[in-house]
Amino acid sequence: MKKKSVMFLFIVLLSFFPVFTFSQDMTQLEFMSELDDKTAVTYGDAVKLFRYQTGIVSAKKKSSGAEIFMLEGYSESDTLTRGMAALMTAQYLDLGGSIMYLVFGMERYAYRACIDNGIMISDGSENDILNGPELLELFSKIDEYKGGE
Amino acid sequence: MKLLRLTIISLSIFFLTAALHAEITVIKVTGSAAYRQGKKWLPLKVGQKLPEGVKVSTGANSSAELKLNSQNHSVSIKPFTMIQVYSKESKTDTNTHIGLKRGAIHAKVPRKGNIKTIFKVSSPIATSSVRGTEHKTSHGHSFGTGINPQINTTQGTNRHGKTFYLSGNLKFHQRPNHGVPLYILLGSRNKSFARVFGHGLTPDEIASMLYSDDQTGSAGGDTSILQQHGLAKVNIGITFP
Repeated sequence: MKKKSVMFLFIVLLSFFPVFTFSQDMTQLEFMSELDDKTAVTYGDAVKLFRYQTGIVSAKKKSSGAEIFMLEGYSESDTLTRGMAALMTAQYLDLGGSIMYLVFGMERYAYRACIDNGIMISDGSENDILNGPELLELFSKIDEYKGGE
Repeated sequence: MKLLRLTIISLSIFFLTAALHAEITVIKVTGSAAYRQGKKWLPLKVGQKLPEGVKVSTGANSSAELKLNSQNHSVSIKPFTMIQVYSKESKTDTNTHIGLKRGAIHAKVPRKGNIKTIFKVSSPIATSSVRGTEHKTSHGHSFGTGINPQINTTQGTNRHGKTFYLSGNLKFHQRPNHGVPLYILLGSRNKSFARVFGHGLTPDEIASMLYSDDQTGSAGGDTSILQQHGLAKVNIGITFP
């Protein structure tokens, strides 16, 4: 009887082995795939990507106050503008380069700081609405700026 | 007799076609990386064989490396990237085509003997062809396509057929909705010349003026030195490139 239960336990553990070894976050990739087709993204979408980027996804870590990219006065359903994304990026990367951003810390100057650091391109205004591919490109640039793999 | 002939022909077509497709193998995975099967994204595993035309995607802080054929041609996929891979090979040649939807990849294409090699990375607006052994290609919605040779020579071509041969510090950059690529030495030029603002001041100089605690210039400080006038000898060396 004891032998049988040990065998059973072993088979159960073995069947779950691939789940333990290859636990990758597929929801993240599904989310990015959906973003590819979005013509306008929200502040919530950007927050979600920043959380993937920083690895802060659990509620415990969220309460630690480490989410330096968060903006005040916006709800998750608000449409994301270039300026908002730039300010989140500038706060997250602690960007320098633009004196006006260092002094005022406004979206307009955060956008200039992102342009100066090669993270954004200067062919629009900070009030332009970002689409999905643009948001994903921004994260590629953030990764490049950080010297990622 | 007819049935035998038909079987032989079918078998030979099957084996010949099978030989054309190169084996795409996953050799490294970090973080979240997946391939598309039907409408689902499934996790990549090291050692896994992928079918021809497979779509591969990587997430945040994630990367993957694929071996594309028996010649050890490989591609390293950077975070936030999506690609589609086609790879064929025979005894005499290899033909690899990677479609880059977004993100960045680093291709390594070592040359062996007399194997004819075609290796192309295409974005929606430009194509890079390997003429050397290594190059980086990136593509994004606003920045467009960038091609950066790492070793030897790479060729960058836009959709209108404008082609540049790239090596060393030369970089190909095709912006969306632009007829011609940017000047290929633009990156080197921007690195060589410092940006200056009003009164010829650099960003560092402006920052030090705004934030440094300069006693000689402050209202309560000793400003007597500023009132003194005199002549000073200055040696200037000008180097013309």
